[in-house]
Amino acid sequence: MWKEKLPIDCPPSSAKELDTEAYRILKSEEPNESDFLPYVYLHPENERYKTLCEAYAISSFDSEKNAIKAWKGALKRGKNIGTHIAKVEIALSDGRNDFNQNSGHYSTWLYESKNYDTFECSNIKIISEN
Amino acid sequence: MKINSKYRLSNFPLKLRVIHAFDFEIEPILLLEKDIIGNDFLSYLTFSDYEKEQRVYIQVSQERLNEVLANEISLNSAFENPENDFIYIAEFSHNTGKILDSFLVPVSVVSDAQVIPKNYIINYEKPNNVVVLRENELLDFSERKQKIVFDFYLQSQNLINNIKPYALYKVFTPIVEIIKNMLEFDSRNADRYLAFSNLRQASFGITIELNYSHDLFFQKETEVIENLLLLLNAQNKEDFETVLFKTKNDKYLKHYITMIKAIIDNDADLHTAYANPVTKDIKTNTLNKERAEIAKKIIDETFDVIEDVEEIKGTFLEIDIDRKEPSFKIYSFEDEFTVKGKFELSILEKVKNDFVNIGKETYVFQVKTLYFPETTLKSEEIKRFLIDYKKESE
Repeated sequence: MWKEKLPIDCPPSSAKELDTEAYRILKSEEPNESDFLPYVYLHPENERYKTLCEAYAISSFDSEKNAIKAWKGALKRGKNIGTHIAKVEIALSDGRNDFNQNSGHYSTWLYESKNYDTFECSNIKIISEN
Repeated sequence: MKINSKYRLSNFPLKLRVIHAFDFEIEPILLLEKDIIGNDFLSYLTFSDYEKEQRVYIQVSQERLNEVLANEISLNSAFENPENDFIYIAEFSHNTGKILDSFLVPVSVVSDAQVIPKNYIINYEKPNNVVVLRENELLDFSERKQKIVFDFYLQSQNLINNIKPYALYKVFTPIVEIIKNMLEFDSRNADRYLAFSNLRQASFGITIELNYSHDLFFQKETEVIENLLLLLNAQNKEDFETVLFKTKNDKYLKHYITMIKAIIDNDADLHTAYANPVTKDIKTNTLNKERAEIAKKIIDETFDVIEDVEEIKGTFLEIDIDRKEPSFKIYSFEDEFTVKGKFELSILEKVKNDFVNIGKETYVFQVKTLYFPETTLKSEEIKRFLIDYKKESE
């Protein structure tokens, strides 16, 4: 059912299928598969996060403003996670999503049928800090 | 955050396991981690580049953790007022997850650096009933206890308000009986090998701690618990045959059948999990009504009984008419073997009145044989009944 072998009780029961627009930070103007990898695959040898459900999800935000706020947070902590921002379509058939109302953050756990390189990106633009 | 090297630790004293993320946006920002003896730590991400991450740690009691999660006290003030005055800072390699550097710092280091925003709000909804233990918690528990642990959790609509007797007597007790049977000990020794903990209500959960071998390897109990999981997971003939092949006797099956019937009758889900402190294995299983019904079909499997009546010429060797089911033993002259069985009730009076001379007189016996063919769970069975006999004339 799931694209990845997920930890037990993952995704949480609160996660739902959604049909929505979201915003995602990209590393360049040309989106590719590596822009949509879950955290756990960025450092595959790191065992610390292997049992953490959220590490298997893809992050996106409900608004451009919230996405840039998160990008700034990461930058302040020491990492520039990307240079561009894009609008992505999350479909009901993509997987299940958990939504944090405070930060506007989506965690998306993908179904087996969804590929990382099949997210449609539009309105790609360079991130402006202002 | 730059830290004065005078606070550096030669070794990070905590062996931590990440349990839960309260904030994971792009990166793991706020985490709950546990050390090997079960203490809770909140860790907050203070720095992360492409090489390493730096996290600040405070130990929290369950009460403090609940206060923080309910935003009754801010995360910032929890870190500025740690319950035990210790603040650790640890740096981990992103690639390996290994510790690169660690520090023990005074509270002022964290408050002066203002690493946690004062208006930071945690978005966390506590689950209503945390009754199924998380895998990692179970393994931690197993390691602390240095025992094999088998967690039992029975969920059903009729167990929400209280625990019904069937949950105890028809599901939990049969599981314990299966373990006792497979490990070959009886109730007199149960206290030496078994203990129960983590009792949870709504629905009904309990952890069975098992230490039979009293050594470092737990070989015997590991085999038994793995066989028990195979049995609980069995869904076809081959699965049952595997369990039967691996176990010395099949007496535990009656307890298994009791349990299966109770799960079906009460539309219950039995969640079980096993953790082994030596192999670090964690295995889980869920037996619900559907799966229990599939198993029951195999259990109920029967074949036609084969009936045969034969004449045997021989002599009585034994007659016991005082038993609840009066029995006989005869010797066949022709085949030179003994045949044992029960008297059919209709000839009992005849036997009593005949004053049979055991071992001396020759009779022609009519013996009815019922042959019950082997099924998946039962071995073949032969029952013999003496339906008539005549003294052979000399």
